Amino acid sequence: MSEQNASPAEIEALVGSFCDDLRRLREEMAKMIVGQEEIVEGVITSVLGGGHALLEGVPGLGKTMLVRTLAECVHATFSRIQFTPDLMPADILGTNVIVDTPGGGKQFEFQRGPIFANIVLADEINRATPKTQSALLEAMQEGSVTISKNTYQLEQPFFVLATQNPLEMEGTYPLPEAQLDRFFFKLKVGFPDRHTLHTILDRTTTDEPPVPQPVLDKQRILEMRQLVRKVPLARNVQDYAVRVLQATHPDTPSATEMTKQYVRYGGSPRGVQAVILAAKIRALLEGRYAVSIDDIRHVAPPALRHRIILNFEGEAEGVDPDQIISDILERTPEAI
Amino acid sequence: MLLAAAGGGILVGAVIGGARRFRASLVATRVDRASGLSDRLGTAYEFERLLAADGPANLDPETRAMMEAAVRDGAVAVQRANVIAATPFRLPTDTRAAIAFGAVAMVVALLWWPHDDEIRFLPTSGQVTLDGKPLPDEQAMRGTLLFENTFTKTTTRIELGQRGAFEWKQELHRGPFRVIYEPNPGLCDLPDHTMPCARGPVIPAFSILPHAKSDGPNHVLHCSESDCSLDIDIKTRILEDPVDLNSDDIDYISDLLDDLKRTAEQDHDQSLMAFVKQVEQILRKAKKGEISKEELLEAMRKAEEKYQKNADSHMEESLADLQDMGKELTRNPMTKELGKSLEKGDLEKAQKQMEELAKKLEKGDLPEKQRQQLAKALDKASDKLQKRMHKREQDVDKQIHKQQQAMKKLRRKLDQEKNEQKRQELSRRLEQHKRELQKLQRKKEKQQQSASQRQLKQLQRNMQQAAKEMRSNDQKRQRQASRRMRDMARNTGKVDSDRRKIKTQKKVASQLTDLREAMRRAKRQGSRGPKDLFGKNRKNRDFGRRARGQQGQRGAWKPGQAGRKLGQNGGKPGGKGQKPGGDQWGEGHDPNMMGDPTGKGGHTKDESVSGQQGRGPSKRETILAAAQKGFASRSYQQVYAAYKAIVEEVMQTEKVPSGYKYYVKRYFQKIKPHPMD
Repeated sequence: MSEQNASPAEIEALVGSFCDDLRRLREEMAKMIVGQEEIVEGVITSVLGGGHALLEGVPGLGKTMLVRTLAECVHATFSRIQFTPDLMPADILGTNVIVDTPGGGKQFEFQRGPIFANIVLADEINRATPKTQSALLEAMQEGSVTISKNTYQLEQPFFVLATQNPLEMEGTYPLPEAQLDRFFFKLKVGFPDRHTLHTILDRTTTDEPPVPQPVLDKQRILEMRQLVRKVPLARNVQDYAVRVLQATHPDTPSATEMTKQYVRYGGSPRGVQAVILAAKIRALLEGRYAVSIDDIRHVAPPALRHRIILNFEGEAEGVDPDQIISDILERTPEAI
Repeated sequence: MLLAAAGGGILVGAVIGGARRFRASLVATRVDRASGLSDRLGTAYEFERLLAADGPANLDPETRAMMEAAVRDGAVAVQRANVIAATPFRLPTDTRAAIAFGAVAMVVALLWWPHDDEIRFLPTSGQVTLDGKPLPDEQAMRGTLLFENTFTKTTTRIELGQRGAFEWKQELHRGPFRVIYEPNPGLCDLPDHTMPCARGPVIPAFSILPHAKSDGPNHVLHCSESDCSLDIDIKTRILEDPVDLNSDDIDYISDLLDDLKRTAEQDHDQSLMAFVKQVEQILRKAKKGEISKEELLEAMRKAEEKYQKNADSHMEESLADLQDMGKELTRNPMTKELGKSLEKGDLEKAQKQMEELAKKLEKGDLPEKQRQQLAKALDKASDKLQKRMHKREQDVDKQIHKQQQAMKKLRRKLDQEKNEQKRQELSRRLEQHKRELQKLQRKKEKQQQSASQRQLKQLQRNMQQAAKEMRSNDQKRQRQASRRMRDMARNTGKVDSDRRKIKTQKKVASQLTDLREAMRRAKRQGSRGPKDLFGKNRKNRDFGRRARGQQGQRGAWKPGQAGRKLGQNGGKPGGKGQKPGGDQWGEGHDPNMMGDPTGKGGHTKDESVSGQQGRGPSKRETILAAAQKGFASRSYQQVYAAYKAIVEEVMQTEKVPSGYKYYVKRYFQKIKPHPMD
């Protein structure tokens, strides 16, 4: 794009090509992933928003398959890290090993860990110890790894998809709230319905499973990320997002009754950043040039559900943060 | 005229309202929302203004271009705007009331005139006269009612119970006291009016305030043509605000009382038993609604005060005195066993031994030598006890005297001192001594009032007298000595009983707190509980049913159910699913007695943890199975006992807020195992 104003045709072409690329990506992924459109959209949104995603779902629902497919469609490097209680930070980041030099001596050489990939699947992240979790999360936040005073940049785009199993309670280390806040989206993977199950079986129990083809490259992902950030939004829409976030805090005047009753801490500014970015992506996906309030409503649940911390009563009552978010979206006026 | 004026006012208001100006952005938003334009108009309007004002200088070209594109998009979207949908016409909120008023006014204006036989005599409520004294439990209903003539607007006073023109039918219901008036077609002469009989339907019942609860069965009086019996004895007690205990509260309190009863039986504590009976009586009244919340709490307080009365703070000292006395008695072979019992603190045994000795004395089974030995031992022991108690009193007296002397000295110095600062210092020290003195005096007072100390004094006197009398060979005196020994046994028994009482009081302190809390939480009748946002009352009721071994409802909430059907493959990777449980229950032990690390989602789970063949279900499986199928299994009883044992300890160590301790205890009460049929 030139420094001068882009012409309408150019902008239209940009947005059009954005939508086309995403459509092709979704179609390609749909060859491998049956149903789960919302999850796929959520993952793609996280990638384009420059964030990371946390998936929660029972085993066997295709989470690994989804990320692997995404990596193949984007022509990016992929690695899978299975988190176990005995996993150490060095197992993720890499470590220095002694190697022989040509001159007959020995020296340390850094062996990169599985985190040095574009797309990383951190499976069952809540099974690892907090020390190991923080090694990953630090890399997610900084985009680099520091070992023995040397800093190694992680190649962009760098995207982590972490999974959590809701059934595992014994011997797990739930992510603390401060760490959860680093995730762009939290997506809940539900069990497929009957029709979807039939399709899965038809595709995966026959002779030739489909093979996804790369449709985008890493550079294109980076360009798309940049375009997302250029999408404008009106003040009143931004104000709505801010009011929604404020309503998640029990001590603000705009907090709803449910918030006051069940919430200890509300979403952070990272939360509303995620909401805005995700809303921009959604606006582009729908071929619009600006964000609407409906976009905010649509993306608020996955962006905020893991940032709302329930109090004792909320935990005891088994309140779902999604219920609180729905209540807030219903009661927050669109314009004041 | 009035109507025209009112209509004119409405019109003016409408014109003023219609002429109001609205912000363009607000209008744009409304139109967007109504037309489903995804905020295109509002956004376009704002961007247009920004760009026209030459926008922020740091806008990059793409963003600017997008804003322009959004404006164009908005311009195109205008064609789809549905302005009418954005400004729907709504009737004023009180339109219905206005229409109703208009209809009534029309009816009145059309001069409706009742026929003679349509004149009604409507009772006006709130005019009942009862005697203003507090009502006893049973009384005859008396009073006066005023009836208003709907046509002449005059009122007629009619006494309740009166026979004559208008006969009464009274229905007593639980809840608001209702009186139904029904005219007797035969007798229609009112005291003040002579009107034709009122015919037609029964005049609707009205309430007599305040609300009264009836305890008896429903009485419907059937009047014969000429006569109705109107004097009814009803058990009513009119309460402004009776307490309302629901079945959960009652169950919980009953459980607590059962626990207390068991403790009272085990420890033979009569005063605790009496307390329980009192509380049961209070509970019965509360169930019937015969007691208000304030009265409930007051009655509880009195009962507890009575139970805690005479809590002896000098028990430890008294027991130490008895131990010391016992030591002395062990020196003599006649009283060796008695001494050992007293030394060990086994007062019950000591009491029995004293009675045995008394019996022997009475029967004359003790030879002379033994009697003398016994007398010697009792003498020495009595001396020692007396000296010990006396020394204690003297110590306190000495300290009191010391304080008094110190105070005298300080007063003298104070009188002589001229320096203000030193005077203040002396005054402060004087106050300190004064407080110490008061403390010592209170201590002395308590000592003197101490029940156990009084018993010991009597014991000592009886012992002394017994020793004196048994030295004599006179049978009569020996019998007296025997009586003294029995008195000694009684004294020891009283000390023992007080000691048990104090021990029991400590034991049941926690349960008394729970009981107090449960009563405090009882609601007033008519007060609303918290909103049932998630159907938790329904879930609790279903839980309660399953806990009692009954079937829960179909489709009711079960642990782990969160709108999904979960797989049964177990939680751990490679889990093989559920294995059939055995007959014996498992030896495994969940080390997480203090609770697992809390998960985020708040979901429970249907987890199957695989156990080894033949070893039976693990604790976790037992608990989950009980939660789904009921709490009647034997293995569950054992699991429950293990967890219950540490509940109190955990609540102390985990710093659970006191308000929530109540819920934790209620929880354990609800999941208590029930014996199998």
